[in-house]
Amino acid sequence: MSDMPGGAIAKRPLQFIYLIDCSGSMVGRKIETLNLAVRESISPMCTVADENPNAEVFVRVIKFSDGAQWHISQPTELHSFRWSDLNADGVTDMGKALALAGEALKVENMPPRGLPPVLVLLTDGQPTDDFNAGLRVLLDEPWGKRAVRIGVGIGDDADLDVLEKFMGNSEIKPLQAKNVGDLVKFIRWASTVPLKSASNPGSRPSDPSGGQQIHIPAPPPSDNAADAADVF
Amino acid sequence: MSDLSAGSWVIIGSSVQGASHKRSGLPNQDAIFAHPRIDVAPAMAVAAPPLILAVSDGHGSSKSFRSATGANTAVQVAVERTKEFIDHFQGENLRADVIHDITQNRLPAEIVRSWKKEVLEHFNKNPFNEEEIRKVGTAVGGQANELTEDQGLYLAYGATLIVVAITESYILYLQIGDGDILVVGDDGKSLEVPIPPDPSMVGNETASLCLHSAQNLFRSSFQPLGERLPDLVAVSTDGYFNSFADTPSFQKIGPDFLRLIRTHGVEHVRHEMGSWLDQASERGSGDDITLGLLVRQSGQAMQADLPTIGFEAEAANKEGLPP
Repeated sequence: MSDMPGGAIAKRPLQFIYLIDCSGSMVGRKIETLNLAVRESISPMCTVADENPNAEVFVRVIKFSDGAQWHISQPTELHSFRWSDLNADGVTDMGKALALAGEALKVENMPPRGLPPVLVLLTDGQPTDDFNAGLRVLLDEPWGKRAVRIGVGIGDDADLDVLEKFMGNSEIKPLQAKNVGDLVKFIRWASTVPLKSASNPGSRPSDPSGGQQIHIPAPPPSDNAADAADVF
Repeated sequence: MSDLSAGSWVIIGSSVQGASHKRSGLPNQDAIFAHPRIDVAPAMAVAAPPLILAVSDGHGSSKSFRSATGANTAVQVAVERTKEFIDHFQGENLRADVIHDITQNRLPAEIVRSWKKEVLEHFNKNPFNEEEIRKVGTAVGGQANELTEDQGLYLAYGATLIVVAITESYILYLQIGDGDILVVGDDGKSLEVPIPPDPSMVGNETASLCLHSAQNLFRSSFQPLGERLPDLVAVSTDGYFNSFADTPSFQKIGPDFLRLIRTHGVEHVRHEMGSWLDQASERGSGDDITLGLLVRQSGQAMQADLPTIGFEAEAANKEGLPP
């Protein structure tokens, strides 16, 4: 064992970032359900991570309303990650949130041996700032462009077009949670299934027609038969 | 200063199934092959130049479901074509820059042409089943059942390739895609990286033999001899680099392997190599790992119990082409 050539051995780091809409329209059941769903997703995320002990998952959270800030700024090892509830107020500066994520994913902040990051964007509305400028900042970063990006719309007013542009995925479309049950289910899916795919991705040729996206299994269907009281 | 013509080299190689592949039941999708041929991993051969060593990493993603075959094909055609080039130009007394130009430009094109020909033959004998057609169709966004020589076909077999050839007058390094070459000088410490990593590639993205422009994506380095000779050349797939905490931790393998060979003998290192690679994968990347070492033989570096040259065997990856 002591003869083993080379220096320190280490698992491959994987950055997981939530980008969460905290605008005024999220007040009430939406933000309450979101807080509950993210908190309850931590345990299944740990299960996924434990199934692939060669990846070390670090979680961070960006919140956006009037501007964008880190809610949890320090990349936190998943098993040590604790959720603290978010509150909602203000507008929907989604572009600034994407730019902030782009800054975090600059090559100099990421080891070359890292696994593709996972970004999960949760929103119930339309951007009130320059979404395209923020997306450009994110996608101009090599790691931002190669990240697994999942968008979850909350309610009927969510702008699915911007979520689709954010995802840039020819295989799967944004999820739309129309009720409380959907949101819990979709946040759990978005927190675990893309994480599993990104933590053991295989290599991919660097050609556009060679498939830029890591394959993500299809998300679960929406629950159209939900109780009317649970509909957003 | 060393005299290459007076010495010989040892080739040691090993290829191990990644820890994550063991968990999921996937085969080893790396491959290694050499001239003179080396036995199944861990393997060794001793020879005077020319020596050729090739390693390949099959992409292993769901869309590259035949990449074990693609990798095995890659190392075999690369060694064969490189050997032909070396033999063809041997004795023609060409200038080093002419040989460099030929090997940099014509050899990659020949390797890619041969790889695609072999892959197409394999495909014709083993057409895709329905599930495979669906995967390929998704990958290229087209009509999968019309694919013959289309890129989607080659994507299924996608693989990287590294080739190192040592002749009596030069050392050639060729690479497409990820993986690493480390060269340790005759002081046992100095380290060179003849083909630096491609900064445009991050994550698991890589150049590949399966791409349309593959022959233009090769990178190369050419070292005329007559200067100081390396004592060790290490060639590895990216599962090895990705198992270390950082680049210096990985690059330490070069001097460490040379020190271990000088201290304990090549037979000890050959015996332990598979176990070391297994441990690196288990505690590190989880990926398949393949490592080939070209070690210059000297009284100090080697012990006497070496096998004879040139025994015949197959590539370390047993997922070869069908008869």
